[in-house]
Amino acid sequence: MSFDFHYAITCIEPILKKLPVTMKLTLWSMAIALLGGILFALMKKSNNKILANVCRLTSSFLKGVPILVFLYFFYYSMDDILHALGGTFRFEYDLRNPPKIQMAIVALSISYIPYMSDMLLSALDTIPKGQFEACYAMGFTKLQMMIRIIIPQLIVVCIPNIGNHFVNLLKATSLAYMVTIVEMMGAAKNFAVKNQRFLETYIMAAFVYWVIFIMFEQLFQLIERHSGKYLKR
Amino acid sequence: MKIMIEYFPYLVKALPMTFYILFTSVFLALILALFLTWAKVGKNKIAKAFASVYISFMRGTPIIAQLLIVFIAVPLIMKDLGIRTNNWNNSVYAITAFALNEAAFFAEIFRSAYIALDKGQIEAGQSLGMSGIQVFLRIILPQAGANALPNTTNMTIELMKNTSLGMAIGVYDIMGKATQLALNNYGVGQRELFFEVSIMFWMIGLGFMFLTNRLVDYLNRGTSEHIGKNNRLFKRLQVKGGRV
Repeated sequence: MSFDFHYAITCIEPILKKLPVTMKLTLWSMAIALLGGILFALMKKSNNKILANVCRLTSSFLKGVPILVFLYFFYYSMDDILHALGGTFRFEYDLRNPPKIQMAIVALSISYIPYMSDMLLSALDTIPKGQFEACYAMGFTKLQMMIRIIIPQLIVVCIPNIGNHFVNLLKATSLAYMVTIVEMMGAAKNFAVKNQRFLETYIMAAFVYWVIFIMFEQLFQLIERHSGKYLKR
Repeated sequence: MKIMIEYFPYLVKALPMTFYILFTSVFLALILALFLTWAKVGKNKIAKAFASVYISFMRGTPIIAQLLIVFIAVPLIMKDLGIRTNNWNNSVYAITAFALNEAAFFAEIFRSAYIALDKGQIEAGQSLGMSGIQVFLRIILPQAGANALPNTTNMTIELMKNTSLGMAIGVYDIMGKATQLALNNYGVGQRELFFEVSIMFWMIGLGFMFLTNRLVDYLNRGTSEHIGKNNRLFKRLQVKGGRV
Protein backbone atom coordinates (compact mmCIF):
# COMPACT_ATOMS: atom_id res chain seq x y z
CA MET A 1 0.00 0.00 0.00
CA SER A 2 1.45 3.34 -0.99
CA PHE A 3 0.17 6.73 -0.06
CA ASP A 4 0.99 9.55 -2.47
CA PHE A 5 1.13 12.77 -0.44
CA HIS A 6 1.64 15.08 -3.39
CA TYR A 7 -1.43 13.72 -5.08
CA ALA A 8 -3.38 13.85 -1.83
CA ILE A 9 -2.79 17.58 -1.49
CA THR A 10 -4.08 18.22 -5.00
CA CYS A 11 -7.36 16.51 -4.02
CA ILE A 12 -8.29 19.17 -1.51
CA GLU A 13 -9.05 21.90 -4.01
CA PRO A 14 -11.73 20.17 -6.13
CA ILE A 15 -13.37 18.83 -2.96
CA LEU A 16 -13.49 22.22 -1.25
CA LYS A 17 -14.89 23.79 -4.40
CA LYS A 18 -18.13 21.87 -3.79
CA LEU A 19 -18.44 23.04 -0.19
CA PRO A 20 -21.16 25.56 -1.17
CA VAL A 21 -23.34 22.73 -2.48
CA THR A 22 -22.93 20.81 0.77
CA MET A 23 -23.69 23.91 2.80
CA LYS A 24 -26.72 24.67 0.65
CA LEU A 25 -28.07 21.16 1.23
CA THR A 26 -27.36 21.36 4.96
CA LEU A 27 -28.77 24.80 5.63
CA TRP A 28 -31.95 24.37 3.58
CA SER A 29 -32.67 20.94 5.08
CA MET A 30 -31.98 22.29 8.55
CA ALA A 31 -34.37 25.21 8.04
CA ILE A 32 -37.15 23.04 6.61
CA ALA A 33 -36.65 20.39 9.26
CA LEU A 34 -36.87 23.02 12.00
CA LEU A 35 -40.07 24.45 10.56
CA GLY A 36 -41.54 20.97 10.22
CA GLY A 37 -40.35 20.14 13.72
CA ILE A 38 -42.15 23.19 15.14
CA LEU A 39 -45.30 22.18 13.27
CA PHE A 40 -45.06 18.59 14.50
CA ALA A 41 -44.40 19.69 18.07
CA LEU A 42 -47.44 21.96 18.00
CA MET A 43 -49.61 19.20 16.58
CA LYS A 44 -48.35 16.70 19.16
CA LYS A 45 -49.22 19.17 21.92
CA SER A 46 -52.63 20.00 20.50
CA ASN A 47 -55.84 18.87 22.14
CA ASN A 48 -57.02 17.11 19.01
CA LYS A 49 -56.24 13.52 19.84
CA ILE A 50 -56.48 12.18 16.29
CA LEU A 51 -54.06 14.80 14.98
CA ALA A 52 -51.62 14.17 17.80
CA ASN A 53 -51.66 10.41 17.26
CA VAL A 54 -51.27 10.74 13.50
CA CYS A 55 -48.27 12.94 14.19
CA ARG A 56 -46.79 10.42 16.58
CA LEU A 57 -47.21 7.62 14.05
CA THR A 58 -45.67 9.69 11.27
CA SER A 59 -42.67 10.70 13.29
CA SER A 60 -42.10 7.11 14.39
CA PHE A 61 -42.16 6.11 10.73
CA LEU A 62 -39.82 8.90 9.65
CA LYS A 63 -37.42 7.95 12.44
CA GLY A 64 -37.33 4.32 11.43
CA VAL A 65 -36.43 4.73 7.78
CA PRO A 66 -32.89 5.28 6.48
CA ILE A 67 -32.19 8.55 4.71
CA LEU A 68 -30.93 6.62 1.71
CA VAL A 69 -34.36 5.07 1.15
CA PHE A 70 -35.96 8.51 1.15
CA LEU A 71 -33.33 9.81 -1.26
CA TYR A 72 -33.97 6.93 -3.66
CA PHE A 73 -37.70 7.24 -3.25
CA PHE A 74 -37.74 10.91 -4.15
CA TYR A 75 -35.09 10.66 -6.80
CA TYR A 76 -36.36 7.68 -8.75
CA SER A 77 -40.10 7.63 -8.30
CA MET A 78 -41.39 11.18 -8.30
CA ASP A 79 -40.98 11.67 -12.04
CA ASP A 80 -44.48 10.86 -13.25
CA ILE A 81 -46.15 12.41 -10.19
CA LEU A 82 -44.35 15.69 -10.68
CA HIS A 83 -44.98 15.54 -14.41
CA ALA A 84 -48.71 15.09 -13.85
CA LEU A 85 -48.75 17.86 -11.24
CA GLY A 86 -46.89 20.11 -13.66
CA GLY A 87 -49.69 19.51 -16.15
CA THR A 88 -52.46 20.49 -13.73
CA PHE A 89 -50.76 23.37 -11.94
CA ARG A 90 -49.13 24.78 -15.06
CA PHE A 91 -45.51 24.63 -14.06
CA GLU A 92 -42.69 23.45 -16.21
CA TYR A 93 -41.22 20.10 -15.19
CA ASP A 94 -38.27 18.98 -17.23
CA LEU A 95 -37.96 15.20 -17.15
CA ARG A 96 -34.42 15.21 -18.48
CA ASN A 97 -33.19 17.66 -15.89
CA PRO A 98 -34.99 16.93 -12.62
CA PRO A 99 -34.50 19.22 -9.62
CA LYS A 100 -32.14 16.79 -7.90
CA ILE A 101 -30.92 19.12 -5.17
CA GLN A 102 -34.43 20.13 -4.15
CA MET A 103 -35.43 16.47 -3.94
CA ALA A 104 -32.42 15.69 -1.76
CA ILE A 105 -33.30 18.63 0.48
CA VAL A 106 -36.83 17.28 0.91
CA ALA A 107 -35.52 13.78 1.67
CA LEU A 108 -32.96 15.00 4.20
CA SER A 109 -35.33 17.40 5.90
CA ILE A 110 -38.23 14.99 6.34
CA SER A 111 -35.95 12.45 7.97
CA TYR A 112 -34.80 15.08 10.48
CA ILE A 113 -38.28 16.43 11.33
CA PRO A 114 -39.00 13.91 14.15
CA TYR A 115 -35.67 14.62 15.81
CA MET A 116 -36.39 18.33 15.73
CA SER A 117 -39.88 17.95 17.16
CA ASP A 118 -38.55 15.66 19.92
CA MET A 119 -35.87 18.21 20.73
CA LEU A 120 -38.40 21.04 20.96
CA LEU A 121 -40.80 19.04 23.11
CA SER A 122 -38.11 18.01 25.56
CA ALA A 123 -36.88 21.60 25.70
CA LEU A 124 -40.42 22.77 26.43
CA ASP A 125 -40.51 20.41 29.40
CA THR A 126 -37.51 22.11 30.97
CA ILE A 127 -39.38 25.41 31.31
CA PRO A 128 -41.12 25.60 34.69
CA LYS A 129 -44.94 25.50 34.69
CA GLY A 130 -45.01 28.54 36.96
CA GLN A 131 -43.82 30.78 34.17
CA PHE A 132 -46.85 29.94 32.02
CA GLU A 133 -49.14 30.64 34.97
CA ALA A 134 -47.35 33.87 35.71
CA CYS A 135 -47.90 34.94 32.11
CA TYR A 136 -51.63 34.23 32.36
CA ALA A 137 -51.78 36.10 35.63
CA MET A 138 -50.07 39.10 34.07
CA GLY A 139 -52.63 39.10 31.27
CA PHE A 140 -50.26 38.24 28.44
CA THR A 141 -51.79 36.98 25.23
CA LYS A 142 -50.54 33.60 24.02
CA LEU A 143 -48.42 35.20 21.31
CA GLN A 144 -46.83 37.63 23.75
CA MET A 145 -46.12 34.82 26.17
CA MET A 146 -44.42 32.79 23.46
CA ILE A 147 -42.35 35.60 22.00
CA ARG A 148 -41.31 37.32 25.21
CA ILE A 149 -40.96 34.53 27.73
CA ILE A 150 -40.90 31.04 26.28
CA ILE A 151 -39.01 31.24 22.99
CA PRO A 152 -35.94 33.11 24.29
CA GLN A 153 -35.46 30.38 26.88
CA LEU A 154 -36.27 27.62 24.43
CA ILE A 155 -33.53 28.74 22.07
CA VAL A 156 -30.91 28.62 24.80
CA VAL A 157 -31.96 25.11 25.82
CA CYS A 158 -32.03 23.91 22.22
CA ILE A 159 -28.68 25.19 20.99
CA PRO A 160 -26.50 22.21 21.99
CA ASN A 161 -28.98 19.80 20.38
CA ILE A 162 -29.31 21.93 17.29
CA GLY A 163 -25.53 21.91 16.96
CA ASN A 164 -25.54 18.12 17.21
CA HIS A 165 -28.23 17.71 14.60
CA PHE A 166 -26.56 20.26 12.35
CA VAL A 167 -23.25 18.41 12.22
CA ASN A 168 -25.07 15.09 11.77
CA LEU A 169 -27.00 16.57 8.89
CA LEU A 170 -23.77 17.90 7.42
CA LYS A 171 -22.40 14.38 7.43
CA ALA A 172 -25.65 12.96 6.09
CA THR A 173 -25.53 15.24 3.04
CA SER A 174 -22.65 13.08 1.81
CA LEU A 175 -25.28 10.45 0.98
CA ALA A 176 -26.59 12.74 -1.74
CA TYR A 177 -23.73 11.57 -3.92
CA MET A 178 -25.54 8.23 -4.25
CA VAL A 179 -28.23 9.98 -6.27
CA THR A 180 -25.67 11.66 -8.52
CA ILE A 181 -25.60 15.06 -6.84
CA VAL A 182 -22.08 16.49 -7.02
CA GLU A 183 -21.37 17.76 -3.53
CA MET A 184 -18.11 17.22 -1.62
CA MET A 185 -18.26 13.43 -1.64
CA GLY A 186 -19.42 13.39 -5.24
CA ALA A 187 -16.58 15.71 -6.24
CA ALA A 188 -14.14 13.39 -4.46
CA LYS A 189 -15.54 10.41 -6.33
CA ASN A 190 -15.32 12.17 -9.69
CA PHE A 191 -11.76 13.26 -9.01
CA ALA A 192 -10.80 9.75 -7.92
CA VAL A 193 -12.29 8.21 -11.05
CA LYS A 194 -10.51 10.74 -13.23
CA ASN A 195 -7.11 10.00 -11.70
CA GLN A 196 -7.73 6.34 -10.79
CA ARG A 197 -6.44 6.90 -7.25
CA PHE A 198 -9.24 6.14 -4.82
CA LEU A 199 -7.59 5.67 -1.45
CA GLU A 200 -5.92 9.08 -1.18
CA THR A 201 -8.96 10.93 -2.48
CA TYR A 202 -11.41 9.36 -0.08
CA ILE A 203 -9.06 9.80 2.87
CA MET A 204 -8.64 13.48 2.01
CA ALA A 205 -12.42 13.84 1.63
CA ALA A 206 -12.83 12.34 5.09
CA PHE A 207 -10.25 14.78 6.45
CA VAL A 208 -12.02 17.74 4.87
CA TYR A 209 -15.29 16.62 6.46
CA TRP A 210 -13.50 16.16 9.77
CA VAL A 211 -12.08 19.68 9.74
CA ILE A 212 -15.45 21.18 8.88
CA PHE A 213 -17.09 19.07 11.58
CA ILE A 214 -14.62 20.28 14.22
CA MET A 215 -15.04 23.90 13.13
CA PHE A 216 -18.82 23.75 13.45
CA GLU A 217 -18.58 21.90 16.75
CA GLN A 218 -16.37 24.66 18.17
CA LEU A 219 -18.64 27.34 16.74
CA PHE A 220 -21.69 25.84 18.40
CA GLN A 221 -19.84 25.48 21.68
CA LEU A 222 -18.96 29.15 21.48
CA ILE A 223 -22.58 30.10 20.84
CA GLU A 224 -23.67 27.83 23.66
CA ARG A 225 -21.31 29.46 26.12
CA HIS A 226 -22.34 32.91 24.96
CA SER A 227 -26.09 32.33 25.03
CA GLY A 228 -26.06 30.57 28.38
CA LYS A 229 -24.45 33.53 30.09
CA TYR A 230 -27.53 34.61 31.98
CA LEU A 231 -27.84 31.17 33.57
CA LYS A 232 -24.57 31.39 35.49
CA ARG A 233 -24.42 34.46 37.56
CA MET B 1 -50.16 -3.17 -4.10
CA LYS B 2 -49.84 -6.20 -6.34
CA ILE B 3 -46.24 -5.28 -7.07
CA MET B 4 -45.52 -4.98 -3.37
CA ILE B 5 -46.78 -8.50 -2.69
CA GLU B 6 -44.83 -9.79 -5.66
CA TYR B 7 -41.59 -8.26 -4.45
CA PHE B 8 -41.99 -9.18 -0.79
CA PRO B 9 -40.42 -12.69 -0.87
CA TYR B 10 -37.30 -11.35 -2.58
CA LEU B 11 -36.87 -8.68 0.05
CA VAL B 12 -37.42 -11.15 2.89
CA LYS B 13 -34.66 -13.31 1.42
CA ALA B 14 -32.30 -10.34 1.84
CA LEU B 15 -33.21 -9.90 5.52
CA PRO B 16 -30.63 -12.40 6.88
CA MET B 17 -27.86 -10.37 5.20
CA THR B 18 -28.99 -7.20 6.99
CA PHE B 19 -29.16 -8.99 10.33
CA TYR B 20 -25.83 -10.72 9.75
CA ILE B 21 -24.07 -7.42 9.08
CA LEU B 22 -25.87 -5.73 11.96
CA PHE B 23 -25.19 -8.32 14.66
CA THR B 24 -21.63 -9.11 13.68
CA SER B 25 -20.63 -5.47 13.54
CA VAL B 26 -22.40 -4.67 16.82
CA PHE B 27 -20.62 -7.59 18.50
CA LEU B 28 -17.20 -6.49 17.21
CA ALA B 29 -17.97 -2.87 18.04
CA LEU B 30 -18.86 -3.77 21.63
CA ILE B 31 -15.49 -5.45 22.14
CA LEU B 32 -13.58 -2.59 20.53
CA ALA B 33 -15.62 -0.04 22.48
CA LEU B 34 -14.65 -1.65 25.79
CA PHE B 35 -10.97 -1.13 24.94
CA LEU B 36 -11.64 2.44 23.82
CA THR B 37 -13.53 3.22 27.01
CA TRP B 38 -10.74 1.72 29.07
CA ALA B 39 -8.26 3.90 27.20
CA LYS B 40 -10.43 6.97 27.59
CA VAL B 41 -11.04 6.73 31.35
CA GLY B 42 -7.68 5.21 32.19
CA LYS B 43 -4.45 6.91 33.17
CA ASN B 44 -2.31 5.98 30.17
CA LYS B 45 -1.87 9.31 28.35
CA ILE B 46 -0.86 7.90 24.96
CA ALA B 47 -3.81 5.51 24.88
CA LYS B 48 -6.09 8.34 25.95
CA ALA B 49 -4.89 10.65 23.17
CA PHE B 50 -5.19 7.89 20.60
CA ALA B 51 -8.73 7.03 21.71
CA SER B 52 -9.77 10.70 21.64
CA VAL B 53 -8.49 11.22 18.11
CA TYR B 54 -10.05 7.97 16.95
CA ILE B 55 -13.45 8.82 18.42
CA SER B 56 -13.35 12.34 17.02
CA PHE B 57 -12.45 11.06 13.55
CA MET B 58 -15.18 8.45 13.53
CA ARG B 59 -17.77 10.95 14.74
CA GLY B 60 -16.61 13.71 12.42
CA THR B 61 -16.55 11.95 9.08
CA PRO B 62 -19.48 10.62 7.09
CA ILE B 63 -20.02 6.89 7.42
CA ILE B 64 -20.06 6.52 3.65
CA ALA B 65 -16.53 7.92 3.43
CA GLN B 66 -15.37 5.45 6.08
CA LEU B 67 -17.06 2.61 4.22
CA LEU B 68 -15.34 3.50 0.96
CA ILE B 69 -11.96 3.93 2.66
CA VAL B 70 -12.25 0.50 4.28
CA PHE B 71 -13.45 -1.00 1.01
CA ILE B 72 -10.35 0.26 -0.78
CA ALA B 73 -7.72 0.15 1.96
CA VAL B 74 -8.33 -3.34 3.38
CA PRO B 75 -7.59 -5.24 0.14
CA LEU B 76 -4.41 -3.18 -0.34
CA ILE B 77 -3.22 -3.90 3.20
CA MET B 78 -4.09 -7.58 2.80
CA LYS B 79 -2.15 -7.67 -0.47
CA ASP B 80 0.92 -6.36 1.33
CA LEU B 81 0.47 -9.08 3.94
CA GLY B 82 0.20 -11.67 1.22
CA ILE B 83 -3.47 -12.59 1.72
CA ARG B 84 -5.69 -12.91 -1.31
CA THR B 85 -8.99 -11.08 -0.99
CA ASN B 86 -10.41 -11.82 -4.42
CA ASN B 87 -13.10 -14.17 -3.21
CA TRP B 88 -14.04 -12.37 -0.02
CA ASN B 89 -17.63 -11.32 0.24
CA ASN B 90 -18.19 -7.57 0.20
CA SER B 91 -20.07 -7.86 3.47
CA VAL B 92 -16.69 -8.32 5.21
CA TYR B 93 -15.75 -4.74 4.39
CA ALA B 94 -19.17 -3.47 5.40
CA ILE B 95 -18.89 -5.23 8.76
CA THR B 96 -15.38 -3.86 9.32
CA ALA B 97 -16.41 -0.31 8.53
CA PHE B 98 -19.59 -0.39 10.60
CA ALA B 99 -17.82 -2.00 13.56
CA LEU B 100 -15.03 0.59 13.51
CA ASN B 101 -17.54 3.42 13.25
CA GLU B 102 -19.95 2.11 15.84
CA ALA B 103 -17.20 1.42 18.38
CA ALA B 104 -16.54 5.14 18.69
CA PHE B 105 -20.18 5.90 19.47
CA PHE B 106 -20.47 2.99 21.87
CA ALA B 107 -17.31 4.12 23.65
CA GLU B 108 -18.82 7.56 24.23
CA ILE B 109 -21.99 5.99 25.65
CA PHE B 110 -20.04 3.63 27.92
CA ARG B 111 -17.85 6.44 29.16
CA SER B 112 -20.82 8.55 30.20
CA ALA B 113 -22.40 5.52 31.88
CA TYR B 114 -19.15 4.88 33.75
CA ILE B 115 -18.88 8.50 34.86
CA ALA B 116 -22.45 8.35 36.19
CA LEU B 117 -21.42 5.56 38.57
CA ASP B 118 -20.78 6.28 42.21
CA LYS B 119 -17.00 6.08 42.58
CA GLY B 120 -17.36 5.12 46.25
CA GLN B 121 -18.75 1.75 45.18
CA ILE B 122 -15.63 0.92 43.21
CA GLU B 123 -13.47 1.94 46.16
CA ALA B 124 -15.64 -0.15 48.46
CA GLY B 125 -15.15 -3.12 46.19
CA GLN B 126 -11.41 -2.61 46.17
CA SER B 127 -11.31 -2.29 49.94
CA LEU B 128 -13.14 -5.62 50.19
CA GLY B 129 -10.22 -7.16 48.35
CA MET B 130 -11.87 -7.68 44.98
CA SER B 131 -9.57 -7.95 41.99
CA GLY B 132 -9.94 -5.56 39.05
CA ILE B 133 -11.90 -8.08 37.03
CA GLN B 134 -14.20 -8.84 39.95
CA VAL B 135 -14.89 -5.14 40.45
CA PHE B 136 -15.65 -4.78 36.78
CA LEU B 137 -17.90 -7.84 36.55
CA ARG B 138 -19.78 -7.47 39.82
CA ILE B 139 -20.02 -3.72 40.36
CA ILE B 140 -19.37 -1.75 37.20
CA LEU B 141 -20.97 -3.93 34.55
CA PRO B 142 -24.42 -4.54 36.13
CA GLN B 143 -25.01 -0.84 36.79
CA ALA B 144 -23.23 0.81 33.90
CA GLY B 145 -24.64 -1.79 31.54
CA ALA B 146 -28.20 -1.04 32.61
CA ASN B 147 -27.50 2.69 32.29
CA ALA B 148 -25.98 2.38 28.86
CA LEU B 149 -28.47 -0.05 27.38
CA PRO B 150 -31.14 2.40 26.09
CA ASN B 151 -28.57 4.54 24.32
CA THR B 152 -26.76 1.50 22.99
CA THR B 153 -29.90 0.14 21.41
CA ASN B 154 -30.69 3.55 19.94
CA MET B 155 -27.30 3.46 18.31
CA THR B 156 -27.97 -0.08 17.14
CA ILE B 157 -31.16 1.06 15.44
CA GLU B 158 -29.20 3.89 13.84
CA LEU B 159 -26.70 1.31 12.62
CA MET B 160 -29.55 -0.84 11.31
CA LYS B 161 -30.59 2.14 9.24
CA ASN B 162 -27.00 2.71 8.15
CA THR B 163 -26.58 -0.86 6.91
CA SER B 164 -28.59 0.30 3.91
CA LEU B 165 -25.40 2.11 2.83
CA GLY B 166 -23.85 -1.28 2.17
CA MET B 167 -25.29 -1.08 -1.31
CA ALA B 168 -22.63 1.52 -2.14
CA ILE B 169 -20.05 -1.28 -2.13
CA GLY B 170 -22.30 -3.96 -3.54
CA VAL B 171 -23.70 -5.73 -0.49
CA TYR B 172 -27.09 -7.28 -1.13
CA ASP B 173 -29.00 -6.42 2.00
CA ILE B 174 -32.60 -5.17 1.82
CA MET B 175 -31.72 -1.90 0.15
CA GLY B 176 -29.21 -3.45 -2.23
CA LYS B 177 -31.73 -6.09 -3.20
CA ALA B 178 -34.38 -3.43 -3.75
CA THR B 179 -32.19 -1.44 -6.14
CA GLN B 180 -31.27 -4.63 -7.94
CA LEU B 181 -34.96 -5.52 -8.35
CA ALA B 182 -35.71 -2.02 -9.56
CA LEU B 183 -32.98 -2.24 -12.16
CA ASN B 184 -34.11 -5.69 -13.29
CA ASN B 185 -37.56 -4.34 -14.01
CA TYR B 186 -36.30 -1.20 -15.72
CA GLY B 187 -37.68 0.96 -12.94
CA VAL B 188 -41.27 -0.31 -13.02
CA GLY B 189 -42.89 -0.09 -9.59
CA GLN B 190 -39.96 1.61 -7.92
CA ARG B 191 -42.20 3.78 -5.80
CA GLU B 192 -43.99 0.80 -4.29
CA LEU B 193 -40.72 -1.02 -3.86
CA PHE B 194 -38.99 1.71 -1.88
CA PHE B 195 -42.14 2.31 0.14
CA GLU B 196 -42.13 -1.36 1.06
CA VAL B 197 -38.45 -1.19 2.01
CA SER B 198 -39.13 1.78 4.27
CA ILE B 199 -42.00 -0.09 5.97
CA MET B 200 -39.70 -3.06 6.55
CA PHE B 201 -37.02 -0.89 8.14
CA TRP B 202 -39.65 0.76 10.32
CA MET B 203 -40.98 -2.59 11.52
CA ILE B 204 -37.50 -3.90 12.34
CA GLY B 205 -36.78 -0.71 14.28
CA LEU B 206 -40.05 -0.99 16.21
CA GLY B 207 -39.27 -4.61 17.04
CA PHE B 208 -35.91 -3.61 18.45
CA MET B 209 -37.52 -0.83 20.51
CA PHE B 210 -40.07 -3.26 21.95
CA LEU B 211 -37.40 -5.78 22.92
CA THR B 212 -35.20 -3.17 24.56
CA ASN B 213 -38.02 -1.68 26.56
CA ARG B 214 -38.72 -5.15 27.96
CA LEU B 215 -35.03 -5.67 28.69
CA VAL B 216 -34.61 -2.30 30.37
CA ASP B 217 -37.64 -2.97 32.54
CA TYR B 218 -36.14 -6.31 33.51
CA LEU B 219 -32.70 -4.87 34.32
CA ASN B 220 -34.13 -1.99 36.33
CA ARG B 221 -36.46 -4.16 38.42
CA GLY B 222 -36.20 -3.22 42.05
CA THR B 223 -35.28 0.41 41.48
CA SER B 224 -37.83 2.93 42.72
CA GLU B 225 -38.58 4.38 39.29
CA HIS B 226 -39.57 1.01 37.98
CA ILE B 227 -41.75 0.19 40.94
CA GLY B 228 -43.42 3.56 40.59
CA LYS B 229 -44.17 2.93 36.95
CA ASN B 230 -45.87 -0.38 37.43
CA ASN B 231 -47.46 -0.18 40.85
CA ARG B 232 -50.84 1.44 41.23
CA LEU B 233 -50.63 1.78 45.00
CA PHE B 234 -47.31 3.58 44.70
CA LYS B 235 -48.82 6.02 42.22
CA ARG B 236 -51.79 6.77 44.46
CA LEU B 237 -49.51 7.45 47.39
CA GLN B 238 -47.42 9.74 45.26
CA VAL B 239 -50.43 11.69 44.06
CA LYS B 240 -51.55 12.28 47.62
CA GLY B 241 -48.21 13.85 48.32
CA GLY B 242 -46.91 11.08 50.50
CA ARG B 243 -43.36 9.93 50.15
CA VAL B 244 -42.69 6.23 49.98
